[in-house]
Amino acid sequence: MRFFLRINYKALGVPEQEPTPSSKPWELYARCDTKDAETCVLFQQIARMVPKDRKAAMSALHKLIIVAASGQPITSYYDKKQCHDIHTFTYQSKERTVWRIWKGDVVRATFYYGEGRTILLTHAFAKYEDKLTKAQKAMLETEVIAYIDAVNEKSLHFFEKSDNESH
Amino acid sequence: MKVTKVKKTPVTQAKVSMAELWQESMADEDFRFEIKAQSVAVDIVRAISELGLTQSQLAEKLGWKPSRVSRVLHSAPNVTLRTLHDVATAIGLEFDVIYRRTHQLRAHQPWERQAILDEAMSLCLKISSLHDHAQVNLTKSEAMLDTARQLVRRGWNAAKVNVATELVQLPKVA
Repeated sequence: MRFFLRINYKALGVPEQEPTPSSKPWELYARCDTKDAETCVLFQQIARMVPKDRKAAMSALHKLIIVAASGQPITSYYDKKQCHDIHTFTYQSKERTVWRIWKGDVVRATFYYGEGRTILLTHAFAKYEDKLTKAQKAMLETEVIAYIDAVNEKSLHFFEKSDNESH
Repeated sequence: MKVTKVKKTPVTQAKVSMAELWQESMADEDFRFEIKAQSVAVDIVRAISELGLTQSQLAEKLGWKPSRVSRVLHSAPNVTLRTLHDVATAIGLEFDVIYRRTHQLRAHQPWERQAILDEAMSLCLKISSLHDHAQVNLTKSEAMLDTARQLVRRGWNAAKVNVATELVQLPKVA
């Protein structure tokens, strides 16, 4: 079983009401080690960043959560430099594309369009160079493949951060 | 001597409290401003999109270069009140500045109203369904209570008859 946390305000720790979803919102998810929001891999990457980068990453996620709720094309809220496809690879005879969002020239968040209206947030990199390293590309592929395999095996478990989870 | 290699247990990642990190970030004035500025930018893009306008059509209406429109919509944190006014006028909308306390709910945008109405309607239906269930359960409970009362009454009556019979059968004390 693979666990995927719904990335919303509650998960991000924003004490505000969630953005009002449109009739067809995008749903953001990120992988967790267990069914516990605090084991979210993306959040762990963000937590390890230096404060300046961490703030940029959290700000990027905050915007993405509002954008996702709108249900409109993600790219319409960013210019081409801020949001573009960064890596394409073939898996199970299909081309898979990973997208990237830049935030403040210091942080890159990557995502993959999954099944239906699902968006899988794969990584948050504190990175100043434009090009991805081989290792980073491999990490992206591993994360996307793990998601695709879980979809095929029907071993996905989506969950939301609950109110009673400890902080 | 044979040495058996012991496999290391994977180290569990430390748990992360995003609420704490968020709170920490919000202590930074620049971060708070950034969050507010990007929310405004998202609202402008959404307003344009809800009206079925493209960004190039907006540029045309405003007499601006598309690059300027893009800057306002996507990255400029220092959008002036004048720019907000010009964009609103160009798309035929008004805008207000609404203040609120941190814990209060934010005002909704016109395009959010239908979703809120739908949610309210769905809640009303759920409440109505809960009310119907409660009504059925209340009727059942009343019937059960009535049966229980009858049983108790019958029990008491039977007990009374038994006691009376036993009293009659007791030898009279001289």
